[in-house]
Amino acid sequence: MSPAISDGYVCLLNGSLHEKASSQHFLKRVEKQFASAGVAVTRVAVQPGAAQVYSEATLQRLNDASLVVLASPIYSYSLPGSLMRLLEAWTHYAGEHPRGAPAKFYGIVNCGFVVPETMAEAVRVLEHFCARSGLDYRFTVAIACGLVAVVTEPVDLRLRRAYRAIVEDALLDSHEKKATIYIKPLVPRIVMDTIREHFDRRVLRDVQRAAARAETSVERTEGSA
Amino acid sequence: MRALLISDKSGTEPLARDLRERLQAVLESKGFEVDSYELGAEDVVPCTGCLICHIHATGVCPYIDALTSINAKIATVDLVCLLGPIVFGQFGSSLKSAADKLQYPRMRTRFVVAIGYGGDVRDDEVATFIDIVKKHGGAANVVHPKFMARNDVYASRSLAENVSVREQLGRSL
Repeated sequence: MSPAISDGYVCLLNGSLHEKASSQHFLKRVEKQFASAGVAVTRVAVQPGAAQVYSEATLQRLNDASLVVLASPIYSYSLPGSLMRLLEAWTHYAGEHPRGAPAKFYGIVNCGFVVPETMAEAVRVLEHFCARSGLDYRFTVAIACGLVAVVTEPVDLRLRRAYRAIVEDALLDSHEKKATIYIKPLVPRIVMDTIREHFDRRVLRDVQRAAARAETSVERTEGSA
Repeated sequence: MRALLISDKSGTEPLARDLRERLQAVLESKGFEVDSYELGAEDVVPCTGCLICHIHATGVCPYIDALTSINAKIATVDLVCLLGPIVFGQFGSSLKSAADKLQYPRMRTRFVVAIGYGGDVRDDEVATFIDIVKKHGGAANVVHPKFMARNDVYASRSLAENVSVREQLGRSL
């Protein structure tokens, strides 16, 4: 086992505010693998609400970990605002409380898109965050169609291999940089695209109708004024 | 013509203030009537991914915050400007929380300008910021069609670059 891990603990950071998030599921799987390897694990999650305040104890727990695994959804091709709030607070804290050795950092990101490479920029954001916070960025697992991946996980060997890759890399004293692991959904793309197209068209149509109604009401208000 | 300017309240340093003033000036000189919103951390309830806005197909978030009135205005403007600090290669938390909740289906028919700033932002972070914004402008259409027809992005790291951003924006509007 890596000397850093045997002396410290692993912190699992849940970057999703959704109660039944795919991110949470992925973290549980990684936690299980760490538990079977006898590694102590602690959890931190982003806080809901506008007044997101992170206690010093929470930031210290993150900062003192030997290894951090972050799981998060991707909103608009980048990290969600709620997670950014926590990462900003952590970076600020880390600047004031420098740690001894840089903690290893792994990311698990998921989105609703069919093509996992869509998350390439979000992965770069994680790398920038690690560079700013003095963390040892290892690699990210980028999972397309998170919910579908959760459902098909029992038959998806690539996903299970990816969880194992995180734990194996963490337990080894390796510093060789690894590439992002992109995981496509098992469901054929044509099926996923058809569902998305249908969903997209319906939302677009309804919102355009609502916009037309809003524009009409504004014109009426301006006319009467 | 009407424009919506959404900026980060935390941008109080000279670089941010100067950029904001220049942006406001260029919009007014081009004949835009500008509605401004300055958002701080306490003004936006971050998106929880509940998808109620999508499920009910209204685009309206059940959590009432500053975005409630901003989203109502998007239908009535021609241009939406987002101005905020670049943090780790994307917008900082306040503006990103707002951007997460902007009504993208409605935004697709609007001209969007995103401007990021930061005195100590590195080249690779600027490149990531630009790439993320460009994806909304159609660069990701291979995976998500019907995104906004026009979407400009600028980044500034100094007062001198603010002047250049103003000039470029003046030409593009």
